[in-house]
Amino acid sequence: MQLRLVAAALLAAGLYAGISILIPLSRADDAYSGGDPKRGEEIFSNNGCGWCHEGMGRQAGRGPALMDTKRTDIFLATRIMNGKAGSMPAFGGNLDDQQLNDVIAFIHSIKPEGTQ
Amino acid sequence: MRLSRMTLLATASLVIIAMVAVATSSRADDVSFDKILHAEKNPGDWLTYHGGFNGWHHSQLDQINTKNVGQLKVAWIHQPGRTTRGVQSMPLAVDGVLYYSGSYSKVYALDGATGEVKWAYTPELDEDLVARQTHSPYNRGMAVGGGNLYVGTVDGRLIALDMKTGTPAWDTKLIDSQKLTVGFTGAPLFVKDKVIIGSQGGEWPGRGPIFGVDAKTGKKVWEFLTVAGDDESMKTWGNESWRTGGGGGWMPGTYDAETDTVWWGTANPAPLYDWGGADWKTKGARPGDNLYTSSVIALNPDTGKLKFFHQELPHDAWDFDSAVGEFVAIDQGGKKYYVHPNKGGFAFVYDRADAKVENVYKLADNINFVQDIKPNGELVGRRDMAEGPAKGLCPAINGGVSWNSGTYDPATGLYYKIGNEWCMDLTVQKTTPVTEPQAQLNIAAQFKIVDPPGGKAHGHLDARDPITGKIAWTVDFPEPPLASLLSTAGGLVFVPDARGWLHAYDDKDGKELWKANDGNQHNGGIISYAVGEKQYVAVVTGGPSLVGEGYAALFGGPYKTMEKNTGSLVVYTLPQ
Repeated sequence: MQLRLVAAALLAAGLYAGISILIPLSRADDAYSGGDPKRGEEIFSNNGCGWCHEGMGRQAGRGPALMDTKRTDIFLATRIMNGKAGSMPAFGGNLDDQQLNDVIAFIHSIKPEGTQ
Repeated sequence: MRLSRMTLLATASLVIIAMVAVATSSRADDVSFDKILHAEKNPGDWLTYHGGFNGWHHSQLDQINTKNVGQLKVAWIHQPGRTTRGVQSMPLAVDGVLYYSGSYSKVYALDGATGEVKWAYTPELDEDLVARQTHSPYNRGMAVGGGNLYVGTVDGRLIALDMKTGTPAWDTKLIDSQKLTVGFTGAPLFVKDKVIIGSQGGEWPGRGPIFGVDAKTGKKVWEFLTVAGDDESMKTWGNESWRTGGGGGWMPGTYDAETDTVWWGTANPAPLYDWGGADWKTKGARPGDNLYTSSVIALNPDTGKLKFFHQELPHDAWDFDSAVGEFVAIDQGGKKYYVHPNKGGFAFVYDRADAKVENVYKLADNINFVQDIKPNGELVGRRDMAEGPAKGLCPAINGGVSWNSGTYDPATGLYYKIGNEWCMDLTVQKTTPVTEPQAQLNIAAQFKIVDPPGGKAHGHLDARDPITGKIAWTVDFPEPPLASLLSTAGGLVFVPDARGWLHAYDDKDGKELWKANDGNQHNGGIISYAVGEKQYVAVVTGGPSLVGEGYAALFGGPYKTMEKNTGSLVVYTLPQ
């Protein structure tokens, strides 16, 4: 079953139960490798991610800086797919597995301005 | 206890209310349209988002005044529970009952003297949709009239609640929010027999509708599209760019009874920013003026037909929209004006007869997205950016003013308004046209907020002549306060700031007379009302707002650790 379907089902189950629930990721942490950072950059731009993650994720704004993040890929994937109430919208309905991997690859590729 | 002007006004009001009640055969607490129309005759109430159709955010109550404001104490507090993004609404007060809305469009009716809950209402929302929305789930207020309260929801509904019981009278789905992504966050406006409400829009692929709904039945009567809703406006969106949409009118406007006209401000076109540069009329994401975005529109309240308009920023390339709902009615020198702030940091002064621009002045110092705007409204020296980096655009996307309202005091003749000083570096990017459902923010740029040239980002409270903009006095703030202001006949201007302080200033000279901390940031409304012979000041707290959530990164300090997603209603009064 694709991750997004699992996510949607579990999110719906969590909402039905009236509780917050994160996606229990069925993939191992290294399963998020293989994304295309260039495509991820386009997805990042086209979905308005820079509204909060300023300077294409290089610095904190409304949301945290993403460059040199210490977060695990599982954390990044969960946050991207489920969002965080009051801070970040859920993109689970917008991105498929490959696009999610692309965005994570882009996050890991962010370098200081002028060095990319 | 001496009530002076308040007592006299209250006595006069009782007589008038009785006359209206007889004339309309309605219950006194139904809040007839006549009562709203003459809100100034009921100084103990606060009947519309803007405190009355004059848009003054001013209370005629003077029991709390410059001499005794130092004694002001908390009377009671209401805690609304689940408060994602804080309480951002403007309370209402009717006959000693205080009503306010919180996140997720929860509604409370409270005893105005004690805070005791009379009833509460929590709508069942599409939580899956809410989780996918960016500008959600805050609610910025309600309308009252005809025995009901009216509140919009982020999943596209307008709900009427019996103001005595909180029981839904009707619940109308106006927007397919699953398709348009957005819904309603702003307060409605009750006009005659209709409830008027504008949708979110701006960064999403919709046509930014504003609705007129029958107040008794909930049936939609009309819908005005702020994006290409008629043949003329369709021509201003080259290459069918109207499909990427934007617009909307997410803050309540006002009603001019003399001309029977609803005035409303509209939001920006999508995408934010545009790579058309100087060739924006023929190239870029959305070639043309993009009517009726970033405009002030005048509608027939019965039909929703456009009577006249003024587009403050043709082809808004900066997200400096006109959705600020503030229309301050000023009668001066035999002329009748509305003063309307634009997010770009300019105030437009309109002739109320036809929206002819009579003057334009700056509310912020750091503005360079245009060199200037002439007194007739003409933009001079536009800074239209092509694809690529652009440094030091001022003001920042947060605006030279934010969406909350200033206040006008008829006693001083001064208009009190917050101005914001900040800029940003950005890189304009070509993006793929976004026309599909459930889209996220459509922004053709990446950016970062920076300090203005030669100084730190900050805000200021200015007391001005509302027509000329001439400043009488100024108070600086280390960070722009983001909440609405309140002036009172007690000679006071109340300013809720971003650090949680509620300040009271002398309205004549800006001298601070009192302050107290509400324990959280302020991002919403403030009103004054009376129960019996006692005056109260009610302010909402909490956040973050969409602008305020950037304060940790920009200003640091307390914003790094200040609690988020909480809030309350705090009510002050004088000791017994």
